[in-house]
Amino acid sequence: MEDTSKDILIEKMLDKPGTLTAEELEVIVSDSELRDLYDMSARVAGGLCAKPDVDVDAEWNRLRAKIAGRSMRRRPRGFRAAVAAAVVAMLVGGSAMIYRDMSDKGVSEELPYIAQTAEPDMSEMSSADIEEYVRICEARIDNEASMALSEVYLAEYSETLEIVSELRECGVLTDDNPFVRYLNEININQITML
Amino acid sequence: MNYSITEFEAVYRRCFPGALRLAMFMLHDSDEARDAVQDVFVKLWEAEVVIENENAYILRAVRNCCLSRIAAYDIHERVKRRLPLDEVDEAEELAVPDEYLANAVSALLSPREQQVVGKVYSEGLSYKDTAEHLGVSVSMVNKCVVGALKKLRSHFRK
Repeated sequence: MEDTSKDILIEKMLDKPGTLTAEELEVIVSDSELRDLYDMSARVAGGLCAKPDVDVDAEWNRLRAKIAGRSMRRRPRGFRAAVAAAVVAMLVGGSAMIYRDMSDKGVSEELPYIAQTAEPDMSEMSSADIEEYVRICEARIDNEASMALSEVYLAEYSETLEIVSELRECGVLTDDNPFVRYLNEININQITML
Repeated sequence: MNYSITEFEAVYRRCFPGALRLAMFMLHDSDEARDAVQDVFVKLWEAEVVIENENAYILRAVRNCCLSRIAAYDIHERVKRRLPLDEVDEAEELAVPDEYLANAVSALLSPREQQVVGKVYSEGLSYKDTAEHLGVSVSMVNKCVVGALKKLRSHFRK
């Protein structure tokens, strides 16, 4: 590169670096002398640039407002995971209790409704994600419990119908009996919404 | 940081000036520097660390934060902001960069060079405005700046 061209490039580099073209930048980066000069200029710019008159109190208040909302979330990582695990255990335990209840009433032992999904890694989840996951688990358990209970009610109703039928055959209950009339009027299909 | 808010405030007030100076030295922009320092202290508040030397820890964190911000800029943006193309020596950054430089400027440069460097770098004037203020030509301004930078470069290389 000619000296004159180099001097012009140096002047542009130091005075108006924002106006350098891509080609000029490439020349600067590839020329050790120009690059050294640019780097020194950058360090001087950093060292001598005007220091702002910053109000430390105002900066502290700005920081305090930012961290105030994060105080509640500031729990040990292990603590969050432990709480999430405890909640999930309670929900799973609750569904296990429903399962045992269903077994006692003679309902099929397998609950087909509860989907088996892999548990997420709680330690990597934010508190909002954990809360959302817990809500989903709760909704899922509620739904499954409702469906399981409807099976129980259906079983009980069927049992009752059999008993009433036997009692009618024995002559203990007649068609005039209000309870018999009520049972005859029930539309089981409407109740189970099948 | 396992401190109460009062303790944290004391740490903040103690370390903030040095942290801001370092961020200004690295980023050359006061708003960016303030944001970078704020980010560091917010992360510090949420971190579960026990810090022995708070000032050194915070300066290192500010340096890393500033380097991340600089790394996000392409070369055009870096040059436009007069940011270094290479990483600066860590020991120099974490010391007192601006005082270190200011001392070298007053010790090594001629009065004219100090005047010109002050106008261009401290006040942020263009070559043309500097030349008008000092009653010299633009080429004289360029000669002073280049001469000053070469002297400073030789000094810091020793």
